[in-house]
Amino acid sequence: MSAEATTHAGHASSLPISHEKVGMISFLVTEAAFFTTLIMSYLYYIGKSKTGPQPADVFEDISVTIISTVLLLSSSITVHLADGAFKKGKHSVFVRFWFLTIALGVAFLVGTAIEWHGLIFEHDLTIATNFFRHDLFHSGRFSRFPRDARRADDEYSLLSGPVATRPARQDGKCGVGFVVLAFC
Amino acid sequence: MAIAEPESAIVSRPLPSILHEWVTTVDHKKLGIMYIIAAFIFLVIGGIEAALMRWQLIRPAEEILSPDTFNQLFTMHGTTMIFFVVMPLLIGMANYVVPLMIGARDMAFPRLNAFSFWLYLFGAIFTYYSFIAGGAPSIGWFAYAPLTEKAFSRDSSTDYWILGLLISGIGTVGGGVNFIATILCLRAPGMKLSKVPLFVWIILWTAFLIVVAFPPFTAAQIMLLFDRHLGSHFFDTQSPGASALFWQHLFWFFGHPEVYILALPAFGMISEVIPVFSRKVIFGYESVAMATAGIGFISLGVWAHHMFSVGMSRPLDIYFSGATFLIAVPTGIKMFNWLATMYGGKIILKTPMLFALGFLSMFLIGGLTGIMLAAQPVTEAVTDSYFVVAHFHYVAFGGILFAIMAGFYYWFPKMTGKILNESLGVWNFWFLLVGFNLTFGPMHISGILGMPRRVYTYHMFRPEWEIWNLLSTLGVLVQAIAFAIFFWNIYVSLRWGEPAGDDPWDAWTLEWATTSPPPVYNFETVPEVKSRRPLWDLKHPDDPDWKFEHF
Ligand SMILES: [Cu+2]
Repeated sequence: MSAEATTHAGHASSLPISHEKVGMISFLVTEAAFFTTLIMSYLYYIGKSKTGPQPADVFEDISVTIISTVLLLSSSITVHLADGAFKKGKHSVFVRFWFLTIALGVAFLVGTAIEWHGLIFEHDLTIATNFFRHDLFHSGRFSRFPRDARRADDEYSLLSGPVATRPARQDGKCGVGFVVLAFC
Repeated sequence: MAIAEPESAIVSRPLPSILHEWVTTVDHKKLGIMYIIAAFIFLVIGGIEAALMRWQLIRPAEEILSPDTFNQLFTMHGTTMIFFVVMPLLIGMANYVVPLMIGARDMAFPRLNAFSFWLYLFGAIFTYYSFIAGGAPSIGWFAYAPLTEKAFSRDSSTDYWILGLLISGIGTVGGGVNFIATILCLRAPGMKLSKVPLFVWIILWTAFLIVVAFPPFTAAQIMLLFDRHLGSHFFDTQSPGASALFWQHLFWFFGHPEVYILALPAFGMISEVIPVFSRKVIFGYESVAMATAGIGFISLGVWAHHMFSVGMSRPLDIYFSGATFLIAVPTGIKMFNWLATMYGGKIILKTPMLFALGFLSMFLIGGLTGIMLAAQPVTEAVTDSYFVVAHFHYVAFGGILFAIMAGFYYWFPKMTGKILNESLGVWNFWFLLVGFNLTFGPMHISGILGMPRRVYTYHMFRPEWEIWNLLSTLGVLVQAIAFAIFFWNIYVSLRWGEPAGDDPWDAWTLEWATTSPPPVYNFETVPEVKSRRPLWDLKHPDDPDWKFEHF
């Protein structure tokens, strides 16, 4: 028993890619299904807001958004480079790109925080007001995930949420709580 | 060899050490068994909920349950049976059997597997905690908006429903990912995808449906949580622009594939049991495999047949009606495959085969009423009546649960080393068949007579409903006896049952090539697989299948 039991490797007939990769791809499919649902929701609800602010009102200046997005996408490249360096055993290169990735991630978070601060406190736009909030939530929350998932997320980062009609109100507390939640 | 050993080993060990071993295990076999045990416990709970409802409806104006309790019971009954009973039973059995069938040591991600199980269990317990926390959800298992909004559901019961299913749903998604990686990557040498047992092939498609259909449900649940706690208005119809209908779309986009997430593995079990007990190769392996793929894809595009009565546009009605008719085609193909497998076979009427035959006949009835309901005008007439309740119980209970029973009787010897008692099994089958038909057959009639579902009582002015309700309730008693026999059978057979040996049914797939129960590592050696019936080839080297298979 013992010798054979430990030598059985099996799996000669299986796919040429590893089960880790298949698992990761399957996981990305679940992510895609998740975000597709949010996109469908956005398409379903678009234009149904009866009260402002509308996207055009709050995104007059999207420079911060663009910069944040560029930083986020760049971090995908740097983490990829770090990964490659790690595999080649180039430790110092790895460390450099690794910390660059973290720095880009932090910069993205700061940019997003600035953006959200503006939305919440200048435009009084929280999730209870109308649109926007909840996609920002999703893009933020998952963008710290493994690298491929992150790329997918970013494309969706400007999607929007629901309609709301309760008069614009509140001090944005739940929106702020949300920001906190989003980055966990 | 390993038949007597484990038992004495277990008996001599202290309980905490056994518990520790089970709680910390990542072995697919132990996890499979834990799925099954947990699901059986919830089966009893969900059954009691159903029995209470039937008791309330035994005659008009009965006053055993309050209306609100009744709402809680049908919500929890549906939620329990679908999410905490049938799905974990199927996932648990697949967990146990799939790695064995493909000659693998374990699932691809054993820790993820354990994680999935515990998420399921804690999600289920969490949902049930609502009873203690002030009342169970009373929103139906489909949780239609706007009943779920704060305005109509002020307490936290709905939150328990959302979060409990969200937790267990993430576990299910983990299971889906795990099955895909396992089946695609861990097959034994020579076992091409065109040579896997049909159950394995079907679990692959089930996992595909899980991976595609569960995340939208999770997204919808999160939107609902936002509505309830962060003040958004996705589904709150009190706000202009919000849409209760959109919840239905999201829910049923998940909900219909969910039906096939439950039904496909049942088809898979039947596809294993019928050939072995007909002593014939499955008729049309390829067409069963292709029909499975067909069902997998079509089932993603039929969801709004659950919404015919909400007043969609005519083109949508026609599309969803047509697509639903279309899905009957691959399902029908499978029925003919199973019948053709039995035709001319040497049929052995042991309990697994009895349940498989029960499945064929009951699922046929459920499928035919399904075709009736696929016609939008018919739905218009009987929607939300007991006719629909009858239809989906013939699918989910007479179909799927009977198939699970067939699979359970079939694989129990592998899992435990003991064969379930045959005469108790036969009693179990007949009581369940009679009880089931007595309960759900009359519902077709009370439904056509106009009795609405989800009502906690009915008035004496509808005397024509009474007899059918009485019969339905009596049927529950017969079913209760059937399940009592079933659990008694498990107990008796575990204690005094006859040893199974490695291969009690003279079957042909790899799980029967190892001991019962299998060792932790499953196989000492896995044979080179050359055909769809590797064990047949081993037993009959003079007449192997691979001489005749060309795929
Ligand atoms: Cu359906």
